[in-house]
Amino acid sequence: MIGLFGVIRDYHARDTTARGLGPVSLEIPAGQAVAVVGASGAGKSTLLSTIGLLDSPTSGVYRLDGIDVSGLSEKRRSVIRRDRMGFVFQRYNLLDELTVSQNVELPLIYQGCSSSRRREAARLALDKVGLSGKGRLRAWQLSGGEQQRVAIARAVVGKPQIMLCDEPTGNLDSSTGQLIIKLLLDIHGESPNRILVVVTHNVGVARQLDRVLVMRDGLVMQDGIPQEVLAQ
Amino acid sequence: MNPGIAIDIWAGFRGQLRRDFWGVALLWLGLSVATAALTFGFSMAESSYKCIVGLLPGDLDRLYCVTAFERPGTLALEAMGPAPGCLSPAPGDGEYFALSMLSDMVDRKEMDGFFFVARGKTVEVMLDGADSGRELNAELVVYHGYAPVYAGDTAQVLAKVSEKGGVAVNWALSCHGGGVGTDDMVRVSPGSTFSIMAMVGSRTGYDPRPRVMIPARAFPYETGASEVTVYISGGASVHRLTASLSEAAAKVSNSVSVQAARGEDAYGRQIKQARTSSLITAGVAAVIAAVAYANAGIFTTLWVSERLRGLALRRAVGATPGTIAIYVMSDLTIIALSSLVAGYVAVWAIWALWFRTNGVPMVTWIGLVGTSLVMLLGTVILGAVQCRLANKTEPALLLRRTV
Repeated sequence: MIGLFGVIRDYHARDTTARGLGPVSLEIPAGQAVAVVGASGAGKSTLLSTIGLLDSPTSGVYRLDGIDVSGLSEKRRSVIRRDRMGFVFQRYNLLDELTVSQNVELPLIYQGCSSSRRREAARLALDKVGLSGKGRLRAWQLSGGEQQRVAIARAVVGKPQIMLCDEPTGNLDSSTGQLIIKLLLDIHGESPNRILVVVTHNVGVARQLDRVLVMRDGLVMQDGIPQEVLAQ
Repeated sequence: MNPGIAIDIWAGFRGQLRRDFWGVALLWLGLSVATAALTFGFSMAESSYKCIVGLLPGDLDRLYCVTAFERPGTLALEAMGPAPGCLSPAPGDGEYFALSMLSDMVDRKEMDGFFFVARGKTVEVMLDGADSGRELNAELVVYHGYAPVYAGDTAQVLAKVSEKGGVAVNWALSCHGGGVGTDDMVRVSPGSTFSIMAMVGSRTGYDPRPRVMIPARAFPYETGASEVTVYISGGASVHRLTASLSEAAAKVSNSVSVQAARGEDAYGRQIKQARTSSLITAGVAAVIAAVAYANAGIFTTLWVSERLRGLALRRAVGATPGTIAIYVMSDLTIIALSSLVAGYVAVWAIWALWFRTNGVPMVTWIGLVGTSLVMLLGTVILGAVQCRLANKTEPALLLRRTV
């Protein structure tokens, strides 16, 4: 379970301080699929980064399965990200110098898996996202939708408990975007305890998830089921 | 290291190389030039300290040339001729007058010593007929008495010199050991030999500067008069020396006249120049290396900045700060090691094609090891800076910024 309690994230530049997030307090139970919506600059990505330990809160407490992870060192945060989280970014963030299969294997490299296990796991992950046989290609040889599927394969190859997706359909057309969301929901459904958090501008995407958080100016303004929140 | 990380490191390096080939090539070239310059610089600096050309005991800033004449008809010493064979002075009045007189002055501590110089000779020194010698551009000076010759220039050899007296010669002659005394033969290239007619001077005790040896008969013979070129330490009074020589010569023969001494600082200048040139070379090499590393610092900062996206993504999927540091250091180490190898190859080529034929001693171990240490230190320092650059910012900010 994810628990944020009074979490604030400020950004300091010379003599100014800008608040990017908070104070935010919320809990996400295991197995829930949450959409985070809001205008640009609302703090959606900052919330996602904080949950994903890609960013450290300035103050407040972040508990992950009851353990306070707010003040952990970068090394320990890296280990948690490696073992328990998977990320899908808006612009795929695939590495051009690696093949598709090598991109997918990356989290397993840091987990210390053997090369044979990595290759097999990557093959299965690519099969799951419908990219069988494309492991030897480079990312730039794939379409946008295919690249995002590779990113999803990379996110799930380590069987994470938490999947964090930042605008996964932002750079895709609507039909491809719908395929991606369906894929994410299918993967989320495979594990009953897996948490899925999706940052999106797309109300249609938000409607398909269990819960919606509406953000503005770094604060969670509304929190509830899509039918209620989006109707408002 | 995890083999997967090693593969990823190499893939990342190749990817960055593809993206910025010319930048890497320029950096690599700069560091290779720095390697070659540092190697030669260190070697020449070491050689200036131990160089067989021109390094003499005493701080010779100014030398005095004293010309002594025999009375007409008597040769004190025969001059060196082109024909091989050993020439010994014919016995006669005044023979060795200059040598014995000068030796006496050394014994009376009126001067430190003197030597005879064969300028610009290329000699092949063979102290043992069974071994082949080495050709080098050398000026050798003979000192008084029997001087055991110890090969090498290590502390061990110098300690032996200190304990027993003698001469330490640098590595160029170090294939041979043994002692060289008066009347011994030193073969010179291309086949002529010199006898060591006298060894004068009596300097013993530990002095890290090597003594050098010279064939005694290496002085000019022109008009039937004998000239003995006497080099004495700077600060000695020429006039006093002239007076002493005249007094000593008068005891040998009334006909001997001693010309007024003239100041001669060319040789001392040569020595200082040789030392100064080598130190300047080492200094220039150090500047080249510093400039190369400053450029390397700028470039590697750009390199790491361009790799920040990839490194931030790797951090996002679980690479620890230590792993990121391995990535950064690996990139720099690949560049530094390849530059080192290329620099050493260039050094060998330059030495083989040009320096060797001009009698410049080969690159020394200090040159090679010193350069490696400098390059290693530079890589470590640069690497530490770049690792901090790669790890200091939160991955979220880097991913957002680079996206």
